[in-house]
Amino acid sequence: MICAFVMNRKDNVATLLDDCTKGSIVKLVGDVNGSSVVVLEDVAKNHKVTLIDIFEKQPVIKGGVSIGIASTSVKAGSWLHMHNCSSRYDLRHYEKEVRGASEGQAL
Amino acid sequence: MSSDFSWKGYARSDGSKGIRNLILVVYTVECAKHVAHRIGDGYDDVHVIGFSGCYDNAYAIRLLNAMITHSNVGALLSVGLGCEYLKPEKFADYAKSSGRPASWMYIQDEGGTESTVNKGKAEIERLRKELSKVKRIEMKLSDLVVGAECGGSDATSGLAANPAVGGVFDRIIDAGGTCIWEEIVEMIGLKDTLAARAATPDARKEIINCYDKMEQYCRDVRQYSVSPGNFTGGLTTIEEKSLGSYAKSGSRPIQGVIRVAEKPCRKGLWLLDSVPDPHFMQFGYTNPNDTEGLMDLISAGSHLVFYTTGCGSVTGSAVAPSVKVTGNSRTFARMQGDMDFDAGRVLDGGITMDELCEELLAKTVEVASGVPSKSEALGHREYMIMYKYQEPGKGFCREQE
Repeated sequence: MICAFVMNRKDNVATLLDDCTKGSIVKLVGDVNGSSVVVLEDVAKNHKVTLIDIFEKQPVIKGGVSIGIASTSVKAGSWLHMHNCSSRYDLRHYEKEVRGASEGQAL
Repeated sequence: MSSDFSWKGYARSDGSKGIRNLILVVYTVECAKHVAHRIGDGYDDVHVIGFSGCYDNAYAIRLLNAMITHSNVGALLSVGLGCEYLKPEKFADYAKSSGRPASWMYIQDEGGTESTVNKGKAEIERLRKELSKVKRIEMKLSDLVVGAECGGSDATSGLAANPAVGGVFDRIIDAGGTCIWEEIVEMIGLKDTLAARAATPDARKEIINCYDKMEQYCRDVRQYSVSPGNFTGGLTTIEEKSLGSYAKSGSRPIQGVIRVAEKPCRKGLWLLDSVPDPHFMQFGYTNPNDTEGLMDLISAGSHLVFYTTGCGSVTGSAVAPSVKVTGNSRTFARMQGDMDFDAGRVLDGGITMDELCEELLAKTVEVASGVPSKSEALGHREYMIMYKYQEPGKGFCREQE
């Protein structure tokens, strides 16, 4: 079973512990009481998936703290990364560095 | 029990104990670099470092002096060209005043490359004979100074590798040792979290000043400490990277903030500030690469450094060995020749974090006792000493609570 790690129960994202494909049911481990999320698109290992709908300008929470702001509204089960999450400090535009899930660190 | 670990180190005349017994070759300008490397390369017990600039830099001198008198270093050979500001004879005098045998030479005086290399190699032989007289002495965790740096991070760094290092930091500190971490530029958003861990009111002020200076610096240079490898590795923002980076500091109180080349004045956990101070020449970067950060940690006296990586950094460090810890088991499997420890095992539930920390602590003692780390065995001895402006450290101990 593919798992995703939740650092803190306040988090609205989890980190994939393995590559997963669109439509997979991913089991949540870490600071959670069971439950799972259906993934709406391919997400690479070590990348994040949203656990709930996050609206534009809402904080993305990991480890109980904000790690950025949603730059667009994001449905639960989506890949969360630079295309839909912005830093509150680093205002540089990273479009060129964003790669698709299949080109991530996954081997 | 952690406090039962002991091994044999090397006794220095200033009372410190080292885990290696090295001859350090120091060059004083870029023009002397090739000759210095020809003299020193190829020996297990000789490390070469140097400063490339021709003009003076107080920061670089302090850093070199700290390396020359590092507890892992037993002797010095300093090589210059002849027309630069930094003077080999001054470094040799400094080494001798610390009880270390030292030699120095100028390439121009010796008559060029070949004659300097030949004389240098003869000096190495002589210094090695002196080093064989250094006494062995018992060392325990309470004698150890350990640094931590992350490089080539991915999302596993914050989930596995850095928390494992943090757990070992806690154990070393509880056993009476000293731990240092840095990369304040990767603690964006964590000012209150850091300040809350201050051991004393002075430490709290130092932490807040260090953080504020860093945020201003990042705004001024319009750079945040993130790289393409971080992004493809799953880290989305500097805030997220910071969350993971911070985990390597463990949970013990922060005794204060030290500057580059400043040794902690008492045991416990210390934050190292490697961010340049404001200066009209806008000198220097902080952490332009991992090697510079490692040098800073080693200049503060780290006997060895935990170097956590997700993507798979292969670099090591001169003067003090790097212990490569990865939270990415795929990286570990792919690059086993370079990785010392697989912290990624905790992610699939095969081992608890406590068990992982105990294993990493044992690995630390193994390296301290003389077993080379992977990067050390492969001959990785990277160094980087740059022009920078930073006020020196306090030079006296902070008040304890």
